[in-house]
Amino acid sequence: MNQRVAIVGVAQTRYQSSRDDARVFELTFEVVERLLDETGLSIWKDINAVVSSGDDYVDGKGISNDQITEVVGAQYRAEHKVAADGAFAVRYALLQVLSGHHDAVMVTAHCKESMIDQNLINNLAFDPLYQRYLGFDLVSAAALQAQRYMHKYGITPEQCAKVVVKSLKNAKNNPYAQVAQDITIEEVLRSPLLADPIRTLDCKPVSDGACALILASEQKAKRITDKPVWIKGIGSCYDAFYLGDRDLADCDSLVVAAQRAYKMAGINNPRNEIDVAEISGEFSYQELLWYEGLGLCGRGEGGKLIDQGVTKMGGELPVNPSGGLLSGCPHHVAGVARVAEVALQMRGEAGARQVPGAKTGLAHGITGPCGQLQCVIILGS
Amino acid sequence: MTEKAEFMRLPATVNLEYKYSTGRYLGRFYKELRDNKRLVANKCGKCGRVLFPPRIACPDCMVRASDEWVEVGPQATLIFFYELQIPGLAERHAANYLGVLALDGTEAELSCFEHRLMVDDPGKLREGMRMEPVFNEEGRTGRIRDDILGFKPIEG
Repeated sequence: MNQRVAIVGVAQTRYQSSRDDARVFELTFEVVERLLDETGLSIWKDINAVVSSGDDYVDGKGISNDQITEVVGAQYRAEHKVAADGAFAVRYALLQVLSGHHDAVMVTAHCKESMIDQNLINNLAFDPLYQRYLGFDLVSAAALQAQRYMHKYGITPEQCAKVVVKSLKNAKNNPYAQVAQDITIEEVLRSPLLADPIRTLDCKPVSDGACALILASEQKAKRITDKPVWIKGIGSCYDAFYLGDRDLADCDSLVVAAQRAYKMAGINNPRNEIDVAEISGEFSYQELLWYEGLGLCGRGEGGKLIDQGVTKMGGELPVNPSGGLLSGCPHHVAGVARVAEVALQMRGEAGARQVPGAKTGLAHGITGPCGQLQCVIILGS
Repeated sequence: MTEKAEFMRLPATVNLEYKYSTGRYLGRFYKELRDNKRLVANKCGKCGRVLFPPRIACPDCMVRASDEWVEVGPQATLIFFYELQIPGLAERHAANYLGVLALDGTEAELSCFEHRLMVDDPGKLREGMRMEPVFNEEGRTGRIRDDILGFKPIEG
């Protein structure tokens, strides 16, 4: 990047299974209000533009972002929606700052998954004349990917269950987490089967919440905070649309996205150079598969990595100190929250989930079945 | 190539059953309407603007609404009106005339709302005329169009 851009503030709601007390855009106001309070910034004088992440189908309203304008200070100003994971909203906001037209851009993401059956909504993401009729949703597509991945590389259900155990244990340190508990591998393996081999506890729970952050140019960032978190690298990549056109055991689009981000950030050995990672595994097996795509281990070695404890708190490279998506975080919000969590780590403000001395962090977001669209963001203190 | 191309139209219906929660602000509004036939609004904590419909924050100030609630209307001034003839839409609105109304106690430029007009003779509709709601007297449910059947001219 030809100029430096920093994250200068973040705010999250607590993630909950249902937020009946608030409409979806009211969740956004909660985080925007806190963000402005904590940074001391004026929405009118300091923030030039807003990028939101959300989805019409999920929000139950066409042009779902037009009601957001009221609560992000975009009335008579500009707001753009990214109808994909929030990590891509961060990317879009970054480009806005890099364009030189804006020196501070706010990113928001909101979602109330409790509003509608998520299996039904996710079924609508598939080709209406083909896959939709085959009954695909994110869970059944994930089952295909899990089967293929586990078969090709000999990944075991126990190794996948360890991801759940680690996530929910880590979540005990995260005040924003929805589900936090000590459970055993056996309890995960005994939870109800949804789509073989995916069980209830292998999935992220239905969740409501919002997250917001502010990106600023170097000059502006230094005026706002003495702890700017720099965006060192970013990469994104699409995989093929049709599941049948991909080898689901190898997340090639993540490999490309990660390499792009590493190259920009000057990272040669991610496992050694990254201190903490927050990655978007909607299902337990995905965390293992994403380890491989991110180059934290070789292909097929994701299971071994968790067996060795490399990614647990206190391990060589802790992954998801927050508890990640399995501890509760809605779609769209997930990617922004991953960036927010890593930013807190870089500032040394992650409380009980802080990875001591973390200087370089990785945040990851996905959109689409089986991680079709991947985004990797490298942050540094 | 044959004359009749091999394409088809495949109609489909998508059924989506949402659980829209009102949240605390619109929740209070609909509860007052349903239980007391009262229209209420909240106010901006900074500029004092009456927020109708009630909401979490003032979009002009980006400040959280105060805890102050006020009753507005139910009488209103008709700002303008129009005849609805779009096939399907008139049935959906269950009305042939729609009015944009400013409730008493709200600022006409900021908080107008649209509702159906109940008139025997549409020729008598005039901009600026005074109107009042016709409440549904039985089985109100907390919905803007079910609990208020429409607006009619104030007689006399």
